[in-house]
Amino acid sequence: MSAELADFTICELLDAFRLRDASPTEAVAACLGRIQRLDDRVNAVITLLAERALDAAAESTRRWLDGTARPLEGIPFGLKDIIATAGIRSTGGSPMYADYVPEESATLARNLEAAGAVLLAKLQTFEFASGSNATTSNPWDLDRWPAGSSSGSAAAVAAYEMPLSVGTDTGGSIAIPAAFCGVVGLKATYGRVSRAGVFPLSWTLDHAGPLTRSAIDAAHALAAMAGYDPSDPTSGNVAVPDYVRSLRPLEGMRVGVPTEWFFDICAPEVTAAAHAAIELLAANGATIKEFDLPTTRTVQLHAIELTIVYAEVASLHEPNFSRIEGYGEEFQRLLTRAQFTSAVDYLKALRARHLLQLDFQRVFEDNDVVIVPGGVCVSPRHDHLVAKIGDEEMPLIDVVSRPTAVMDIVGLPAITIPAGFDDEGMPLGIQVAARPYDEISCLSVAHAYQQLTDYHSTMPSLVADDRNGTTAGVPELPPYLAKPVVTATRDRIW
Amino acid sequence: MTPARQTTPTVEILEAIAADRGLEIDRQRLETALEMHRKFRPELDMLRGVELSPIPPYIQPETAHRWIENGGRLP
Repeated sequence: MSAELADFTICELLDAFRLRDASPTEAVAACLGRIQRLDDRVNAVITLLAERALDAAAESTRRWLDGTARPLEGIPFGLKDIIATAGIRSTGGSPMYADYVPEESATLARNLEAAGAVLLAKLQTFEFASGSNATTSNPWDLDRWPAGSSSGSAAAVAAYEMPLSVGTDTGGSIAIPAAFCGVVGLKATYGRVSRAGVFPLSWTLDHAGPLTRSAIDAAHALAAMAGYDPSDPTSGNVAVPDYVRSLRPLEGMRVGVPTEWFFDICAPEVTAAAHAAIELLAANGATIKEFDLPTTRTVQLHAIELTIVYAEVASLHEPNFSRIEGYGEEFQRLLTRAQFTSAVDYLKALRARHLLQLDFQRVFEDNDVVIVPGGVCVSPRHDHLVAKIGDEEMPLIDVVSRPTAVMDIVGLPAITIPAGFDDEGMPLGIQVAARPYDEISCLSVAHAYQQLTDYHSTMPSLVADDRNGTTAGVPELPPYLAKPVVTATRDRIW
Repeated sequence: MTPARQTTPTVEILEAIAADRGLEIDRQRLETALEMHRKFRPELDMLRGVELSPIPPYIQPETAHRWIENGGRLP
């Protein structure tokens, strides 16, 4: 059994721990083994925390035995490396902070560890969560782009290196990697998950949330992460419900389908997957109603997103501008362009957000959730970064965040779930979004959909091959566990 | 009313703006920034063209946060 523990979801692991079929120590060792065997090819991990994780897992094992287990006791997880961890190198994906070791952990990291989860690794990210420069590969096809900026977070879960990771999302950095890598990504409502201790890109648009392999796992993870945090001035003082126990059946759920914007630029295979999902939901009790978004006809959402990011990133990194060469090239270009953003344009962008919010207010008078694409296309090749929309190739960066940045601009919760595969076996994703602080509706529809489909439990051949080659029984510990491992064990070039 | 004449900045204009802020930015970086700005300009012009009311009740940046915290409605 132990050899397969890396394949377990959060729910399966908690059941196995509860029944004493497996221990957190075995689960962590299994995940470390998977990382050792696959991550040289996937490159999701920046810093492996093997010894620390095994120590924490031993404590979790003890807690399961003495009856003091916490909600996520012994669940291995990883953090995008823009999330601060006390005493552990936290690079922000930037050469500027290559050796930065924070004194305090981010609130969300503390919350997860306080719930018993075991930090296994820090994960690859684009520099300060911006750009397109991924050195991580998509586990479904190692020649393909995993998207980002939560590239390592999505790839690590897709490669079954861990059942849970945390990402952040400013224009689609949870949603798009989740869609491209075939995992679940939950961008919670703006303010729902504290960003205290998270390197910012844009304080107006930054969100955080879990990546998992099932919606119900995301519910477990969000329950541990969410909550009001006075150290984050944008944290919402809104009670956190019991997400798992609050899941509702599909019967009577009102599902909105957009008639504009989301499907205007979208690969036919993604559109087909979304519509197939909508039909499946309708056949199982949901009511479907179309909606429009008039504001998208007069306001370029990309302009709102970029103007806000430019202004805020320029302000945030002002102290380092005289040392701009210390950043990566892509971030240097962003930061230079950002210097020429006017205050009037910035305030126009901030104010224009509310026009879109009013559109969605009307939408949610008639609907509990909306279903939209998770990405405009499937994962492109590393050496040909374009969005293939039918026969047309479009500049990836210009269109890739089209269906996702909306959710950041408005602040809605949105869960991305696998909804099929294209002809080449690459994952296709859809998003389920709801009104602010109604993560329960997102999770309910996503969970119901996953009861009707098995896309989320299909593993990449990379993982299946590894699983088939793994000897059953207690796995051998990887060689690097035989010697002391300190905090930053593996250096990776971003 | 005659629309204002629209033009895109030049490297020299960006250079002057940078100098006014005390920033030293080399010409190659300025050219790249200008190229990015030119590409973005049509979208920015659409945003600039949005009319938002200057009289109460008017939208403030904080309006968006209040709307979110109130579950998708204004208090």
